[in-house]
Amino acid sequence: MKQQTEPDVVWNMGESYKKELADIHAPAELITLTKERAAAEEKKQKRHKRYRSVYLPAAVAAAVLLLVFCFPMWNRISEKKGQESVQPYLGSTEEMPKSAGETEKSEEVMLLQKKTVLPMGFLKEDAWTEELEGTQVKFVQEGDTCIAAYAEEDGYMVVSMKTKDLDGFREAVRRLLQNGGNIYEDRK
Amino acid sequence: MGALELKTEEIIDKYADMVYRIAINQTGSREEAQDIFQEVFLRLVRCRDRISGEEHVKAWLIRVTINCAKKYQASFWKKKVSLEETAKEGPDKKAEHFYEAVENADSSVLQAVKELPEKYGSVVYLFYYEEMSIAQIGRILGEKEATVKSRLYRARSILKIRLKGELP
Repeated sequence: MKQQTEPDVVWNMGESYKKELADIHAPAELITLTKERAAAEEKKQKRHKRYRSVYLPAAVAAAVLLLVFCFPMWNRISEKKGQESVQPYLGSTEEMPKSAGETEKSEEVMLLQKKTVLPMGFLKEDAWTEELEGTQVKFVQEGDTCIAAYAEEDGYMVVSMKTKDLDGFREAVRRLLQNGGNIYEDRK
Repeated sequence: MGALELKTEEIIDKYADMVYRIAINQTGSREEAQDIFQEVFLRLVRCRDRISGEEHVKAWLIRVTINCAKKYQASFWKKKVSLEETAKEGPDKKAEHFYEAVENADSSVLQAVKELPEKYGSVVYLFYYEEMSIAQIGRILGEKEATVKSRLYRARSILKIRLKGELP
């Protein structure tokens, strides 16, 4: 046998390798089976795409709408709660309600409002004026509610309390004036 | 580069032999090659949107087939089966397989390439069969050109030793 040179070996190797590989073909059954599986997979992919393009955006839109409608509602509820929670309490600490929403202690809750003008209720005939702690205080009773108002530098302070006890209300207003309008003074 | 216009069936018809040959070249087993063949085309269906143009699909199929073969070779199932088979066969059978392999090793270039480490096998296939340049092979395999050259050189050296004097 003739001794082969290195380039011969490499050349022959490449050619033989190519020839041997070229004789290999994928079996027809394998191709058919793969086509069937690929078709089934394509159908599955289409369903998945449809889900992603139709159902998913719909679900997201529904979630967004829910948020859009619920958020302001929730906000209003929180605001209402917030308003209730800042109502000042001037009663004794033993009787202090746990929350402003408690009805049984609602008589003890004093509401202070700053007004730029005197409310019309004080112009009624049954309204009267008293001097408490050197300040002219206007009083009026409307049903179960006692309302008082006194002038301040930049308007009027209107104090209201749901009570029929006028003396108790007067005393509460006096204490308020003693403290210079600071409702938290008593709690220190 | 445009979108892939060929239907999946057309792609399978066109590249079936190529994928099957790479799988055989990498694994040396027809059964494994058939599993890899199906896996590759199913992956093609799933990733079709990311493939653009015919040149891309060919490169993609080559790369995925090589990767699938690599994974298959390293898979737990394959290792488990091999160990179980070896244990069942016993020492006599093992010796028989060994002599068969030695005999077959010299019978063809393809057999010799199959017995090369997997990383050399893919380079030999792409260089000799697909007639790709070193740069193209590097791009497909995600390797540097120097790495491809070195693998090709080593693969040739091993094959030269095995095949010297045996070829016509």
